[in-house]
Amino acid sequence: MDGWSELNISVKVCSVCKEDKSEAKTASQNIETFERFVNAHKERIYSIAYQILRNHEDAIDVSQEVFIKVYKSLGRYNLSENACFWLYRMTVNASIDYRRKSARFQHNLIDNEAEVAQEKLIFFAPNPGDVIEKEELRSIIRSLVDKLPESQRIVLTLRDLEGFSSEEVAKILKCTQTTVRWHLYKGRRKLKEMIVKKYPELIPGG
Amino acid sequence: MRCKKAGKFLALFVGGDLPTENVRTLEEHLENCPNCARELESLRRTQEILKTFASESKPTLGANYWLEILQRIEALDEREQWQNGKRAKRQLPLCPFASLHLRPVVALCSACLVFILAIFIFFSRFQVPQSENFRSLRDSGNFRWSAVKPGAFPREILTRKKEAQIAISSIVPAHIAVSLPINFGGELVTKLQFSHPDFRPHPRPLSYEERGGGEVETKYPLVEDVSKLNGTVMVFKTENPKIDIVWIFSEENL
Repeated sequence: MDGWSELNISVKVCSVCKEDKSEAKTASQNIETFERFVNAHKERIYSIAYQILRNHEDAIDVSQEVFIKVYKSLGRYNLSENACFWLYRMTVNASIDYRRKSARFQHNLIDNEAEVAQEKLIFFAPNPGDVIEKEELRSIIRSLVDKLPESQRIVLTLRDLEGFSSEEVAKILKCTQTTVRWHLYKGRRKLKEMIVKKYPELIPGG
Repeated sequence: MRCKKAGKFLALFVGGDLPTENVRTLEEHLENCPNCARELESLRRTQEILKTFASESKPTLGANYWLEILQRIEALDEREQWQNGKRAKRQLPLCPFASLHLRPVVALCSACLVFILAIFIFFSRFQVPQSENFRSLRDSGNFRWSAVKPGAFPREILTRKKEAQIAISSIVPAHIAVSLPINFGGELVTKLQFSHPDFRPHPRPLSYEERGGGEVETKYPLVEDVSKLNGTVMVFKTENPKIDIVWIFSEENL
C-alpha cells in the first residue's frame, strides 16, 4: 500500500549514510565530526530501539550504547557501503538483548497495561464499533504485537512500523528476502487473528 | 489459483511485499473470490491499525542526548585508562606460568592426566590376574575342577556334593544361565565369577530371579565368541558349607 513512500524513506536513509561514511572515518580524530554523525542518525536509531523496547528511557539508553560501540570501533572497522545496515543491525541486536535482560519486568508491565486497556474498552466504549480512543488502541496493539514470537515481531517492527523495505530488512537482519516475507506473512496473519479473536469490534466483518 | 495459496499471498500483498509476478494472478483470483476479498479487507484494517500505532509521536532528542553520550564516552575512557594502569601493575608474574601463554596448556595437560589416571584406576579394579587366581584356587585344594567343552552344554553337574545340582541350561551365543535347586542344603550360590584376559569379569549377575520349582536362576552377559571362553575360569562359591566349584574351559577341549 505504502510501498513508494517507504522507498522514499529508504532512499533518504541510504543517502544519509553515504554522506556520513566519510565523516565516520575521520571521527576518530575529531569528536565534533562524531557529534555530527550522532545527530544525523540519532532519531532513526532511537526510533528503532523504541519500536522494539516500547519505553523512552530504555530506547535512549540502548541507542546511546550503540553510538558508544560505534565510537569504540571507529579505528578498527572500515565502514563499507553497508554501514547503515551494520548500524541498524547493532541497534536491533542491542535492543533484543536489552529486552531479554529485562523480560520479567516488561512482561508484568505489558500485561497490566493490556488489562487496563481492556477494562477501559469495556467501560468507556458503550458502542465499541464506533470510535475507540487512539491511546487505548495503541496499548491494545502494543500488547498484541508483544505476544508475537520474537523473529516475527522484529520483522514486523522494521517493515510495518519503521518503514524499511523488505529488501532492507533482509540486509539489516542478514537473512534472505524469502525469510523476511515468511515472517511478515506469519506475523501479519497472527496479529489479524489475535485482533479478530480478542477485539472483534476493531475489524468489522473479520 | 486456489484460496489456500491466495491466503499466503494476501498477507504480503497487503503491505506491498508480494513479488510483482504474483500480484497479477492474485488480483484475478480476488475478483472471483468474495471470501479472499473479505480476508484482504480485514488484513488491510489490521495494517491501518498498525499504522496508527506507528504514528505515535516520539519525543525529540535534545542536546542532552549528545552530552550524555559524551559523558559516557569520557567515563569509559577513564575506566579504560584506570584498568590499563592496573593491568600494568599486575604484570609481575606470580608463578612461572602466569605471564606466559601456557596457562591453558597446563590446565589441559593436568586435566588429561587426571582423566587417564581415573580410567586406569577404574579398569584396574576389574582386572583379575587370571593365571594367579586359578593357581591359588587349584593349590588350595578346596575345589574340584574339570575341563569342559562349551559347545557340549548342557553339561553334567560338577559338584563336590552329589545333591548340589548346578547345570548350565544354555550357552553361547546366549546368556549363560545357571540354575540350581534352592534347597541345595540350604545354601545359595553367592558368587559366580568369570576370569579371562578377553572377558571382563562381571561381579554382578544381570538378573537373579526365583523360578518355579524352587530354582534360582542367574544370568550372565552374552558370550559372543566361543573361542574367547578358552582359559575362562568359572568359580561358584557357596557360603554354607563353604564350597568352591570351578569350571575351566581348556584349550585341548575346544
